Amino acid sequence: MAGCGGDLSALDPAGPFAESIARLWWAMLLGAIPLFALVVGLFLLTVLRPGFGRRLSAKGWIVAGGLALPLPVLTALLGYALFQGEYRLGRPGSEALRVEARARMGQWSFAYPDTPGAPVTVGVLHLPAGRLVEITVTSEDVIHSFWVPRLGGKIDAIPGHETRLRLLAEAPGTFGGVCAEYCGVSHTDMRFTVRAHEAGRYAAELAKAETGAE
Amino acid sequence: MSGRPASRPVFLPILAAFTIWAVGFLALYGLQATGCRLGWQDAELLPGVTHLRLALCLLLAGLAAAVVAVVLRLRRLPAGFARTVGLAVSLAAAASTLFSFSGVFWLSLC
Amino acid sequence: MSNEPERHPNAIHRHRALDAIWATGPGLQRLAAVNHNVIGKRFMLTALVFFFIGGVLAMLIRTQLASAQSPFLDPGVYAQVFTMHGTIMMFLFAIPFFEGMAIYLLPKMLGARDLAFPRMSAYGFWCYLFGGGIVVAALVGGVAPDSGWFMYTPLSSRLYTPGINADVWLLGITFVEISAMTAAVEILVTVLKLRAPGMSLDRMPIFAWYMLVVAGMMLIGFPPLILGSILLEAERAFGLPFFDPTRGGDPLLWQHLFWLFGHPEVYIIFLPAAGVLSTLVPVFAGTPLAGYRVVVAAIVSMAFLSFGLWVHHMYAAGIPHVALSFFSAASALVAVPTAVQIFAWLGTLAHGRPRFSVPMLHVFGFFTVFVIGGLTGVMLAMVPFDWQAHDTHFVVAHLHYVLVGGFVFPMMAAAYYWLPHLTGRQPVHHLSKIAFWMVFAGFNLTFFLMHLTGLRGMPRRVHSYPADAGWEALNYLSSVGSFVMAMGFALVALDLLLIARFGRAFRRNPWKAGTLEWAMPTPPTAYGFAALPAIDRRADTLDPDRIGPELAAGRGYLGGTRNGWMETLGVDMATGRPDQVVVLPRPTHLPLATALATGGFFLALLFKVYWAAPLFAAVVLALFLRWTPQTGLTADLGPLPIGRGEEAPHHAEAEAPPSQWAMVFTLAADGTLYVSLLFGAFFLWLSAPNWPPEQLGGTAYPAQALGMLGLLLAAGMGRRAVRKAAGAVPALTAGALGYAAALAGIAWMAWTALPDPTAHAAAASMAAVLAYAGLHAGIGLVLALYGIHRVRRGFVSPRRTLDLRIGRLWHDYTAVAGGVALAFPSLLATLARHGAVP
Repeated sequence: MAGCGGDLSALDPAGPFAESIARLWWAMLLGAIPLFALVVGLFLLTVLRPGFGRRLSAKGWIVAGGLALPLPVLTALLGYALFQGEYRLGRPGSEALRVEARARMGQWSFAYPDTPGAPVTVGVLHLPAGRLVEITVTSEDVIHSFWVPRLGGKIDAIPGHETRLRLLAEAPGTFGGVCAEYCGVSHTDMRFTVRAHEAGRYAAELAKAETGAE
Repeated sequence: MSGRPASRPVFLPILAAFTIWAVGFLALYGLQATGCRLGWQDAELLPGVTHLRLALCLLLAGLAAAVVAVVLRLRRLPAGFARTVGLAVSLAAAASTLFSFSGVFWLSLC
Repeated sequence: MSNEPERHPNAIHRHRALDAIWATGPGLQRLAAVNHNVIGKRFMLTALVFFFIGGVLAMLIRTQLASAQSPFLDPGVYAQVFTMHGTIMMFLFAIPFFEGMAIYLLPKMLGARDLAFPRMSAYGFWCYLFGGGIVVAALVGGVAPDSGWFMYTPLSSRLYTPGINADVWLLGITFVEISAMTAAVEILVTVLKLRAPGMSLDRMPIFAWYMLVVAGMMLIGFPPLILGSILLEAERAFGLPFFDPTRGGDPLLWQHLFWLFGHPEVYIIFLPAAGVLSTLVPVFAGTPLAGYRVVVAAIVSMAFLSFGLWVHHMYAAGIPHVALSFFSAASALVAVPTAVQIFAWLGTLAHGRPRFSVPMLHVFGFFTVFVIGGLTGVMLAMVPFDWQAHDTHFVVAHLHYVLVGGFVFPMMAAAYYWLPHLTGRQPVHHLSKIAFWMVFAGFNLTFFLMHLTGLRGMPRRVHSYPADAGWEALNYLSSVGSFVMAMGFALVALDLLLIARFGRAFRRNPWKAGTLEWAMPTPPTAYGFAALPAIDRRADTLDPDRIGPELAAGRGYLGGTRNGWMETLGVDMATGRPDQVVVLPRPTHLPLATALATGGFFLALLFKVYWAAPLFAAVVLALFLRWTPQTGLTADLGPLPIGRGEEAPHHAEAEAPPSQWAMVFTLAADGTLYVSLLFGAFFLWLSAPNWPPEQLGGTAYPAQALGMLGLLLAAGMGRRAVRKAAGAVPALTAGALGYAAALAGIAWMAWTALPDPTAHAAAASMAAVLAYAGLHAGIGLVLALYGIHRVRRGFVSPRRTLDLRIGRLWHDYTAVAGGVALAFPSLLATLARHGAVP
């Protein structure tokens, strides 16, 4: 869709998790437009055309618009969203490849416990394309938030806690990542890059990856 | 001497059911967190039903029963402001209890 | 002293007599003002000044973001700017503005002459002014808070914010919150007790219902924030590690406490505005509000639900999905009572004959903008979508749609609607429409685009962004829109000034409204009503054109004057039957002096002159005790004639006077703070890393027993004192001794059973709970001694036990809370020992 692209656009998904959330967004937007038009339209009609809607009793207005309209919509939406949330969270200890992300002011670093001999990379996260990755996130100082919009939602990096996020990049490529939680004056520059490699070449690429900051 | 008796018939019917909802909210959230902390989600009672899920479901059933009891009690009040508003609020609280907490039946617990 | 009121031959004579009693004096006497007209206007004007400052900060933000990589502000200054924009708009504009509006309007709509505690409203105003002044002074000095208006720890902890910036926020805003708490108690008691005779609960104007619910929410919503601020300041100043993960604290505790306040806060701001709409829409529709009882049910439901959605600010914090589902569902559900109100307004319009006027233009602004904000709110309530949109400009757009749509547009409608009441001048609309359209168009241009900016990945609170991110055009247009909107607001301000200065004078009730505030001269006199009306129907379907002249002629309750008293009527809260004559205190400089001393206390903490803080606290206490000689009676009066052949006792002889209810509500707020503290400790045990602590401590049975027995003795003697009335001195003395024993027990406990509170959050929690108990026992001791003083001065008789009954409430509460506090260290230690992480 035009106007929705970009290295950090949640509307330009590159994996199933971001894809499912983008789908949820478009569905909600399509639902919201008629609801908005209905309420504002009714306001204008009642004010500009006196007598409009008088056949429906005042109580009828409240029951129809206040209960009958929102309750089914909200029930369906909530059920769908919770179902989708379960899908994204998955079960712990599945077949996912483990990666550890550590945040500190101005910098992200990544370790790869499932890939023997891999260096700790700073500012670049290497992933195999087409494989589920479970990232364990924590912080050394203040609260940060790990976010790769094109792959999926964000998760906070909290000192003293470990949080989990599952990501999957469908195809090889490069994606932008940012810190989403305000973390001091270096917040703006606390960016990182995600490189998704072809699964077969992942170990080799990772082994020759540079450790230092970009 | 406190002057409270005069007010009780108006505010109690209006506030009772949602107060149960609010206390229940905290209790469910607290029970869930305590259960996760103490490892109650690992012991399965039946296949797929852990101790924690059972405890949460029982608590929810208790809450729902309490809110329904309030609704039934309010129906016996004489007609008037307190009854009308109290019943409307209490029915909202009953619906909210089901709506907000039914995740305990099927969502991941910890 | 006479029980019989003095009658006045005509309206002019009556006006002069009442004005002499009620009016605020000239010159320095203005600083002694306690009248709700004056205080309400001061609140609103001060809030508008802060709105201007916050608006200028917003324009700085938009200037900075208009282009990629802008060098306009450096990151440190930018952090102060966005932190202060949020802080000012929330704490120094929105809340005080509606407080001022409620202070100004409520007595008039309820048919009372003033609020229940005029000196408290004056004290609250000064606290607001001085607290806000401290925060803005820090901005001028370049040391303003800079960790975001939400102040997340550890960023706001001493390690990462070593300067004074965070202390300014914690102390300055807590100082301001005193005004929110006094306003909450004031509004609750006024709406419940100070109404015109016959105005039962189901006849109250709907605005009073809204404010009743809002005040109740403030009473429960603010204490968690105040507690969080105290704990964080204690961590910063004295090293008690409540939020430090290396010592058993948890940054998530701050988030819970902050948002437990912060989300109800949104509804605390929205509901007064909705109350305005529920008042205005029927007037312009020319028909009473549809579904009055359903609307009352909706706002009560909304109040409760709004306390069940705070975690939707924390969806990305790794909280288990089932817990998120509770909050997600409540967040979605809160849309239902909102929809009920919106369709009640639409139904009212459908069944009336709507007139389109400038206030209705702003109501249109509300409908358009707020509905979008509500729809995006439901979207954000959905957990997966929030994982993407959280902390992006999508949320910035959403919250501005909610707050500007749900507060600013209704407040502008209210300004156009009630300005004739404030000034006595009716609008001549030249600028009004163009001003509205500029605000409306500018607003939508600024914020509608931000939804897209956010979804395309722009995080909040960044001071620059790469040119190739594709956000520059959107940001540029947003900035253009914001300047159009700013010019629109300037035009609104100019328009209101012009109306106030050049508007046409009018006779009465220009909008043909049905509420009591129009049944008085405009601009209003200090006493409002020359006599109080008898209400026989819903008080938004009255006829001010008929009632006004009758009241001016003294036909009604309290139409005469008596002993120079400032009199208004108190009623039974359910039925509206008059049950007392409330005699209000006269203008005094004491609120100002007390607020200055309170300011001294906060400044001593801010500048770390810790030895001075207790001195200022003692001065504050002494000044508060100086408030009391004016109130109360030294002789029994018996029933007083109140007009229309009825009688009622003086409030000092009444069963349930306002001050007794004030104590009940104060204790409710106090109890909320205490429960939050206890839950906080429980939460740390559940969630914080580095538990259990190395040293548990927690038990000293003799000390615990001594403390509990002392508290029980004090409570028992407090009850006995009420029964003994004028002979209460021995009981009160025994009660004071009980408190002395309790204080000794608490100190002993702290000395022997408390590990180093800076070593671990468990010990810090125990220290905080014991300090809470100690503070309450200390105040209880003062109240017992104060009771002795009042008995000796003759303020107490079997008919006049009010002072002792207020004391009894405190003693009972302290016995319960203190007992829990003394047991708490043992409980926490047990929990920590047995619940070690598996």
